Amino acid sequence: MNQTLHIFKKDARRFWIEILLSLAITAAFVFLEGRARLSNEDTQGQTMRALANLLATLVPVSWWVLIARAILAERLVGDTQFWITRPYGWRNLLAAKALFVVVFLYVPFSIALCALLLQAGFTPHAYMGGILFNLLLLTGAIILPLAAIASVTSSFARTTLTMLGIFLGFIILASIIGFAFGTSVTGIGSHVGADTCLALALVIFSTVIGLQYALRRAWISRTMLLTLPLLLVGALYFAGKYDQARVDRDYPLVQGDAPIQLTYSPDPRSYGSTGFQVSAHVMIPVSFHLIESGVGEGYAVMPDAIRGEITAPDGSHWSSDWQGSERYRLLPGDLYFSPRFSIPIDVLTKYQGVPLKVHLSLALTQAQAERTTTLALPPERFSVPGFGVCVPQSGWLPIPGQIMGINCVAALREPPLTYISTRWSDAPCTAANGPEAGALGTAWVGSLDRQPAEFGISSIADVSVNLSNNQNQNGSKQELRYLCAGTPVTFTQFTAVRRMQIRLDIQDFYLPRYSVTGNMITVTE
Amino acid sequence: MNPTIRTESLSKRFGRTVAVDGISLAVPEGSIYALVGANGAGKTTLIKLLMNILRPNAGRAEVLGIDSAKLAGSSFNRIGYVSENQELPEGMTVGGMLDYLRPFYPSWDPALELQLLRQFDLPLARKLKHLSRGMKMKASFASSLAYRPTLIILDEPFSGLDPLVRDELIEGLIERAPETTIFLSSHDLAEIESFSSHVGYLQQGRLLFSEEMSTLSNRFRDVTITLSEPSPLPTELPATWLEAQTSDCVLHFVDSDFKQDSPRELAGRFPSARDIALEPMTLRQIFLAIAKSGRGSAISIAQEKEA
Repeated sequence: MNQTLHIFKKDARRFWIEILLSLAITAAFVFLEGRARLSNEDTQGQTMRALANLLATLVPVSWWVLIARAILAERLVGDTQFWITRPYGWRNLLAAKALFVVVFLYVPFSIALCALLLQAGFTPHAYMGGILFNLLLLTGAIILPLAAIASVTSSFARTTLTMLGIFLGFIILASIIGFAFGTSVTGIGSHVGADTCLALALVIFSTVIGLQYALRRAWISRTMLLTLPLLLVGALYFAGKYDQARVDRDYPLVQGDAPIQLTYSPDPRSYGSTGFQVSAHVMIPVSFHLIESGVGEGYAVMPDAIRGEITAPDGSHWSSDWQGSERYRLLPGDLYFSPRFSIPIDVLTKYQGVPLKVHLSLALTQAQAERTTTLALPPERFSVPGFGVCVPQSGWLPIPGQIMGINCVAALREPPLTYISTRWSDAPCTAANGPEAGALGTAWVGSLDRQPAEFGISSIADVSVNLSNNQNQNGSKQELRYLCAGTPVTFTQFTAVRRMQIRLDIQDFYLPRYSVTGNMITVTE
Repeated sequence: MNPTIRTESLSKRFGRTVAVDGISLAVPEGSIYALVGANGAGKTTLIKLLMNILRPNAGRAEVLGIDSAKLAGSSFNRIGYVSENQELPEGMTVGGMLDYLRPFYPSWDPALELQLLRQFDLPLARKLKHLSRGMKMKASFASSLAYRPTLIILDEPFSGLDPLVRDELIEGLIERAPETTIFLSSHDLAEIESFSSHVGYLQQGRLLFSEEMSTLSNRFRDVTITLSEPSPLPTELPATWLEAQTSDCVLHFVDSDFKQDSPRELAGRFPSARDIALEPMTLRQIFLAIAKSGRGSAISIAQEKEA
């Protein structure tokens, strides 16, 4: 322990400039982030947000410098370092570096997370689990990877180049995947893949660091790091397979007591939809226009995943895996619903112009309204229990005294799935007209997922409340609508009560036509 | 008495290059052992194997009774290591480095530290990165001697230093000699001849011989035989005669196996000799003779000695 403290003190003295810089960046981030997230979306608010975002990038950069400098002070690669022939205990050395990271990174960052929560109007001690979970995510995604890379490189310059190389590699890989698949195929909303990757990252990075400190076998450690991407790809592949089985298992097929009835509507024009463009070149989304009914009062139904099977008149067929569905939330009274699933472009070409039989399967979650809070819209910041903190917005073109929307934040993660409803005013609010029963403005925010925190540098999660009908179509002119102080705003939180699978057969379905222009594919329904 | 360092068939390869080739060696306790050899002979690699900086491909080594592969942490309390290639904590001052290292060593002697600082005239407040090469080496020496190590291992410690600094370091080293074993490598024979008690000669990764300095000096003689008439180089010369050559009536060679009765044997072998001169040789002359005579004969001498 004495040796650990001794090495720690040496590092603290040696890197005081880096430490001060990191603390200053963190403090500036807390100062700006707290104000920016609940600021008005005017020029000043936008500037603060931009600065806060910049600092949110600089915070991990400052960690990188701290971690790399601390580890490279007793570098683990090479055979000429003075310390390797001195009586350093490797456990003491590792403990000293860990202590350095805890004292100058974890402690200030934890304080920063608490300060941000406090600034936004949350009580930090109520979110300790989430803060610890966030620290765990940061450890797996940032701290351990940085430490592992520093432990297998011989200088700060090499560490930097390696980091940049990995960053560049990710960008290239993401571009290739984006070009090929676009966003046409989404995941089916499970944490299995991410959790497995996090666990793998924690194990591999910890092992590499431990191995380097215990044995300084750089080539073994580097090999382990190089195999990690393969392991992650493998883990994601198997997690995907598991998720497919999970949907079949967790969403039992219902027949008679389905909480929603769906029928196919062959005429897309009733939806105002005639086509769309995608940037993908491998998978093309195909929409199915459905009419829905039967959602009970106090309930909402959400499609989580969709699967389709196509059968041609000649008997040949193609079927998809479960694919993630777009974020539809169906309430009582909703009429239309157009789920999509993606089809490989060669399948689309093969079955073009042929009347097909489509067998659609939808994995649905039924959610029940559980907690409703109605309040008169205050002119200043207000808190919604169990949801977050909101502030009325005067918008990017502020008109004095007028509220154009609501901006909210939640602690550590998006809030529980919440339906927000209020009434707009077509005219600017005055003391005379006050709250009035104008057009309905609604928004869905949050999710049913209940992980204690999301990965992020900030403990405040932005909640975009995009209330519908925020503009009034007055002839050819579009006019902004207003929210008057005192107007009732209702926050209804939902919780999942049931999962189920329903199936639908569609006869004589024709796949959409498509044309390729440059990088874009235009799909015409 | 157990040797302080012992190696058995120690080998190290880097790809296809054999840097250390089956070295078996014993360094007696209390000795000043000089490992000599040309640049690239494998001296530094051998030392790194002993210090567990590198791991052997074959064989084993023991340092202070500990398997060198397990040398770590507190084992280094008793070992002082100085290398010409060693990176010092350049950002620290001399005083800062000593302050930092002091708590690592239970046997650190502040009085000796002070004595070494005075002896080497080290500027405490100056950062290591601002010191000359000689001063850095002195700082390294001071930080490696102040805890009275049982074993001091030095890798080319005097390389590239001016004679004044070199003498100061040797003086500091010799003062520690009675209480420690010193193992040092060098390619400068003159600098180690004056104070080494044992010597090992490394060539292309192989240890050609390893013995006491006095034995070595006694074993080698520069022999000049003046014959009564010109004579060709005799055939079937003993393998222990190195660099044998004739010029007119003079036969010259280096006898690597000189014994008390060698003069009598020579007189018997060359009855017509007018004069037989046997001169002791310096270490430098001995190694030059071995090097020039070629690897084969040198190894055979070593093998002969081992037998």
